[in-house]
Amino acid sequence: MTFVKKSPWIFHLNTGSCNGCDIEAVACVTPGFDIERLGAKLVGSPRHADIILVTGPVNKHSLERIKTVVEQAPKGKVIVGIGACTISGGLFKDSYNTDPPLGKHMPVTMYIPGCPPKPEAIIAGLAKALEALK
Amino acid sequence: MTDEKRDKKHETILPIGPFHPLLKEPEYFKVHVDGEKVTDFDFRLGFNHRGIEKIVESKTYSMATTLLGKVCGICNQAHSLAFSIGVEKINKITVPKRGKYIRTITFELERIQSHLLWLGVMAEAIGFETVFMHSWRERERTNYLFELMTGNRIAKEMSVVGGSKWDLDEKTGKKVLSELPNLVKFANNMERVFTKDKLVHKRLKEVGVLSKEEAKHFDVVGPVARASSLDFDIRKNSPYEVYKDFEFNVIVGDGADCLERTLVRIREIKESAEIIRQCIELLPGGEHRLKFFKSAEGKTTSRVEAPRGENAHFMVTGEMNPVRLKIRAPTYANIPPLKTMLLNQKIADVPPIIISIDPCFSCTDRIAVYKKGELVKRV
Ligand code: SF4
Repeated sequence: MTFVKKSPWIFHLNTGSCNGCDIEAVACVTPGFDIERLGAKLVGSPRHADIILVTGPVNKHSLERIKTVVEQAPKGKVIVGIGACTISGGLFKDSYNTDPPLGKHMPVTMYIPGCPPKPEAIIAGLAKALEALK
Repeated sequence: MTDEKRDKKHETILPIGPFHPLLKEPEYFKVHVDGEKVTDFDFRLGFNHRGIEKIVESKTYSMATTLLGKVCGICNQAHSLAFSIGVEKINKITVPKRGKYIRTITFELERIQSHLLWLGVMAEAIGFETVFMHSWRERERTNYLFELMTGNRIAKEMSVVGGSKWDLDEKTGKKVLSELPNLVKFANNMERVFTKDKLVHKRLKEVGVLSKEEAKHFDVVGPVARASSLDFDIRKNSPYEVYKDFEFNVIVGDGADCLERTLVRIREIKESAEIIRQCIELLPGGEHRLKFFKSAEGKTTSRVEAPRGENAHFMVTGEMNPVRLKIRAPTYANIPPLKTMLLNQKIADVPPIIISIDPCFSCTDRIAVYKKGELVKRV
C-alpha cells in the first residue's frame, strides 16, 4: 500500500480576477469534484499553505499586498497560476491597471491555462504540483 | 450612534481585507467596533479595477460581448446582454425571436446559478457548511447545462449583438427541462430549512435590518430592495427581451433582514425555473442570429435585471467599436446602505450582513482617476 506523502493545504489568492477562475477553484472543493478526497484542503491563511493558487491579472493597486501575502507562506511553497490572466493578462493585457504576467513578480512553479480552466484541469494541475512539493 | 456621542477612545478598528478568507475578492472593509458593537463602517474599492471600460473602446462589437462577459464571471451574461440590447436598440435591429428566447434561457439559468452560489457562501458565513456543500452540488447541475448549451461552464457568452451565439437543439432543451424539477426541489427544501430552522433564525432574523424608507433613500436594487418591500424588478417594470410573454411573479418580502434576503433569493430560483420552462415550451423556430458588422452612431442606455439587481449600461457607439461605455453594476447601489445595516450590530453578524447584499466587486470597480499619467484615486 502506498501512502500519500503530503496532504497539501491550499490558499487561494485573487489578484483582481473576474471571479471566473475563483469560482472554479472553489468548485474543486465542493461535492462535484471534491479535492478533499486527495487530502487537499482550502485554508484561510497563507501561513498554513503549501500551495498558493493565484488567479487574476495582477492588479497594480494591490501588487504590494499580494507580495506581502505570498511572502507570509512558509518556505517550500508552490505557487500555481490559474487562468489566462496569470499567464499573459488574457483579456486584460492592454489594461492600464494590470501588470501581468504573474511570473514577473514571484516564482511561479506552474500555470494552468484556460479562461477559466475547468475544475478537472485544476485538479490535474494540483496533482502535478504535489510532485513539485516532494 | 451619532458621531458626537461616540466614545472614540474605546474604539478599535477591525480591518476586513483586502485579502481575507471571508471575501473571495480583494476589497477592504474598515469596521470600527466598541467592544462587540459596530460603531462605524467604511470601505475602499479598487483592488479589482481592470479598466474594462477603456479596453472595450478598442474592440469590435463581436469582441466586446466576450470581453464584457468577463466583467464578472458569476453573472457574465448580464453584462453582455445589456450591451447587446443597447447596440441593437441604436441600430434598430429586430432580433429573431428564437435568439431572444435562447438568451433568456441562459440568462435565467444564470440567475439560478448565481443564487445557488450565493446561498452556499451565505450558509458558510453563518457556519452552516452543510448547506454550502449541498447548494454548490446543485449548482453543478446548472454548470453542466451551460456546458451542454454553450460548451463552457462559466464563460457562457450566449448573447451577441443580433441574437444568441448558439442554437438550442431539441435534445438539449429536453435535458434542461428534465433538470429543472431537481433545482426546484432543492429550492423547496432550502425554503423549508430557512423558514423553520431555529438556529438559522437566531443567526439571520432581525440582523442587518434595512427598512423600506431607508431602502428607498439609498435606492437599493435587486433582491435587497425586494426583501425590504420595494416591488421593483426591471423584468416587470420595464420589460426587455421577451419577458412580456411569460407569466411569473416578482418575489417581494417584508422582513427587511438577512433572513428575508435569503428567502427572496431562494424563491426567485423557483420563478426562474418557471420562466425557463415556459421559454423552452414556447421556443419559436427560425433563425437565432443575425449577422452584424457595422454599427450606426448613437447613444443609449440599456438595463437588465441581473441576479444582483439592476444593471445599466450607457454607451456611445462608433462605426467599428464603442466610443464610450459606462457600466453601472448592481452592487454599486447596494454597498452604501451597508453602514446602516451594520451599525449597532455584533461583530459576529458582520460577515452575514456583508454577504447578504451579494457583493460582487469585480462588477463594481469601475473608475480610476488619472492626472498627467499619475494615478490620483480609484472609486
Ligand atoms: S483567466 Fe478568464 S476566467 Fe480567469 S480570471 Fe482571467 S478573465 Fe476571468
